[in-house]
Amino acid sequence: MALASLNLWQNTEQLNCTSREVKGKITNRPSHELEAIGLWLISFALVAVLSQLLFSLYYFNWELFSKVIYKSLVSLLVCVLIVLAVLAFDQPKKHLLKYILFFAITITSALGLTKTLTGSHAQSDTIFLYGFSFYTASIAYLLHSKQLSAKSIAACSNPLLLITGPIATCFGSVHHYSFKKRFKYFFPYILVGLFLHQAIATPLTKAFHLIALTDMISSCAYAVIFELFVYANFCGLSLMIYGVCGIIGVRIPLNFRQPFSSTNIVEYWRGWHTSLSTVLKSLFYTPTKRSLGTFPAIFVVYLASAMWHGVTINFVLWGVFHASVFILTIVFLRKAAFLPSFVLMIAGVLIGRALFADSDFPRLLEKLSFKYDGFVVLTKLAELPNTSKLALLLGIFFIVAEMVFQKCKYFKERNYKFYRIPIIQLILLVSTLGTICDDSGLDYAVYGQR
Amino acid sequence: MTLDLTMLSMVNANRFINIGAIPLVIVAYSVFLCVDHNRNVNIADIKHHIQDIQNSGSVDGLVFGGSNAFYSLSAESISYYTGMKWYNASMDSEVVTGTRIIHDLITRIDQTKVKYFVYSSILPYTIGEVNSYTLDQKVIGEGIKPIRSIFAYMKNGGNYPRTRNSEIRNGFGDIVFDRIKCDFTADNHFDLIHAREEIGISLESLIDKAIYFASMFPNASILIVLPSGYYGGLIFDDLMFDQALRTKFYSVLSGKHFQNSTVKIIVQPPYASVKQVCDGPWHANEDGRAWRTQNLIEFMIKSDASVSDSQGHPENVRGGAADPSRVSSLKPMTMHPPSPHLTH
Repeated sequence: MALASLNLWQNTEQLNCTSREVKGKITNRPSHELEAIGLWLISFALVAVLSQLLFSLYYFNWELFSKVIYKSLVSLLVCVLIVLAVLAFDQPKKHLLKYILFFAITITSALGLTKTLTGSHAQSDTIFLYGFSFYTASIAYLLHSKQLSAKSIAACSNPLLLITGPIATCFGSVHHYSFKKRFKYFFPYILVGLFLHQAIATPLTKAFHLIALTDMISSCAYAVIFELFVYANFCGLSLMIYGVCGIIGVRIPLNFRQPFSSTNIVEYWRGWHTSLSTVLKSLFYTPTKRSLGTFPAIFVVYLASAMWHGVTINFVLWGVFHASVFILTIVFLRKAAFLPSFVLMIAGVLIGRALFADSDFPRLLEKLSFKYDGFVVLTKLAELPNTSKLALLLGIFFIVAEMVFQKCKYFKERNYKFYRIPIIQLILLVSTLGTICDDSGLDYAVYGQR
Repeated sequence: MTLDLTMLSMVNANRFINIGAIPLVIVAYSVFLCVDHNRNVNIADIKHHIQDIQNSGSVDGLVFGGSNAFYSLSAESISYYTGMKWYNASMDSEVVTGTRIIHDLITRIDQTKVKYFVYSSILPYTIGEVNSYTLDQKVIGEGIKPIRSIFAYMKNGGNYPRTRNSEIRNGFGDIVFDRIKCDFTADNHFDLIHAREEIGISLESLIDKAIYFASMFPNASILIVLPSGYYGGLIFDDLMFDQALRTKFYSVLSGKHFQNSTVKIIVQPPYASVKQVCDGPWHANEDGRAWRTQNLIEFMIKSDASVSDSQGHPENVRGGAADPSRVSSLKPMTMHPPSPHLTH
């Protein structure tokens, strides 16, 4: 396993679209242009319905629907314009263009046109930049892998995917399976996603005020809460979109693969936001490794990732920190020091999340002084609403289960198989529906729509 | 043989869950949603509240905001001190203080006659909730989700009692404390984390709202109020935050070509004692309300008397405790003829 871990980002594309389980049950075949365009069209309705169900918007109405249509058309138009501009350039400039495209979100963030990811709602105010970070990264990847086509434009500007990703790095068809089979396989993903998003992520937003506490224990507690929130929100929505697309007959990347079923940070990153990992590997890791070697390539990858998330000091620190942890882990694994690499993963994830969460730099510095001030946070946690406390417990249970049982047959394929067992599905459904209420917390996509 | 039977029963159990139990739970939940929506008193409450404002006739001043304003500001006291007719139009949650409520409101009253509009918001004091306070936010219970979760209903024995706000307001829209329970005890010694949202984030929302209110009430002075809260024994210095917020607020407004005198911002001081709060850190009891309202009136008087700083804005009233004698004089909640020297 350690040696496998050293093979960085090995077969990431395979992880995304053709895992062993998928090969065994539902094979992929390339989708046709018509399928991609068809999905793009019906995604209007899907986005409107999902917005209603997940984001507690008004009752289904024309105003909402027209807004969805408008945003989607603008995204499609921008994608077409970008691709036309790309085609207008000659080959050497395309090389530069893909990097400009990837960092376009960095430029717009620096100019204040798009928002930095802070855990709060990061939706762009500018309608022309709706879903900008996702489709520019998609086009950059498609340009790199020479896959630009009408199908790929329809895939990366798909309104459903622009809610929260994944980046459209692959787009296969599963139409050759009957609707019944597709429903049976993909519907459980929707329930798992619903549970993560509604029963865990949404109530945890009620604990966001704890970011103001700067002592060591409170900062750690907030890092745990925020990690749970980001995972449950982002992964939950990704799983739902994965399930919906699968039922329709289109396979998109599975953006999360039980990241906590890991023994070190390298494995962790192979399960977290896999579509972005694919893009980063293609655009940054492979070419830099060839010219500068592995370790500089890792730094380049994390700094690029940091800039994609936002142009603030905390993200630079986050990038440098995670690159260092990653390199240190490689050193540990080469010496077969598994326990230190595991401890480093826990510390790396928590400290990394603390850096990610707080864009208020003076407050972040105060937190990094690691001052001890007792267990103030316990009083504050006790004051949280019951739904938030329950969400915290469920979230911790979810992550600990991923971690502890990672060798078991239901966990080792890292595709949420355990949570797709019928009896577990029933438990998740009851827990979700039992806790949902309108004022339990904020509904939004943490990575969404910027 | 035994293994086969076990497998068979597992398959049957899975099939039962997939085609029986899960659909059944979904259907049962749909029924629950229908029942819950029929019991939703939020929307009816809002309509009733706006009808009351219409019934009160033409108003000179409106107090608006969420529960902090509902509990902690008194339109009756302001009316008494200013000699003008004020109404407390605040809602019981700040989440529902968006455009739809204001639109409803302005169709019922003569908006051009409103001379003062006070908007009290806890927005800069909460982190990561800017999205909850957008102008086009829906009313709780209006979407597909239930107002209370199933677990909450079960906890309350299937019944979730809720008092209609119309039953606890007086003719000025103020809360009548005799009709509610201020359940402070030594055990629930609630205090508030001293949380301050990044100025840029909260400022954007406050400016949007200020401009919106100014456009809805063209002849009114708009007063944006950051409310008092109870922070327990916590000692902190908010001067930097307050000054930065005010300076940036006026600076951004000027950039948007707004007259400085039309829109003002005030940061109210924290409650000094737990004896001033009712059932939460933002909710004053009767004493706290009198104290906070007095503080607001003093600001308004200073503001109108042109006691201004170098930027042309009134001095911050933080730390300026209200005169106890005047506060006590506010307590009788009956309409009196205005004091001449306080009349605008």
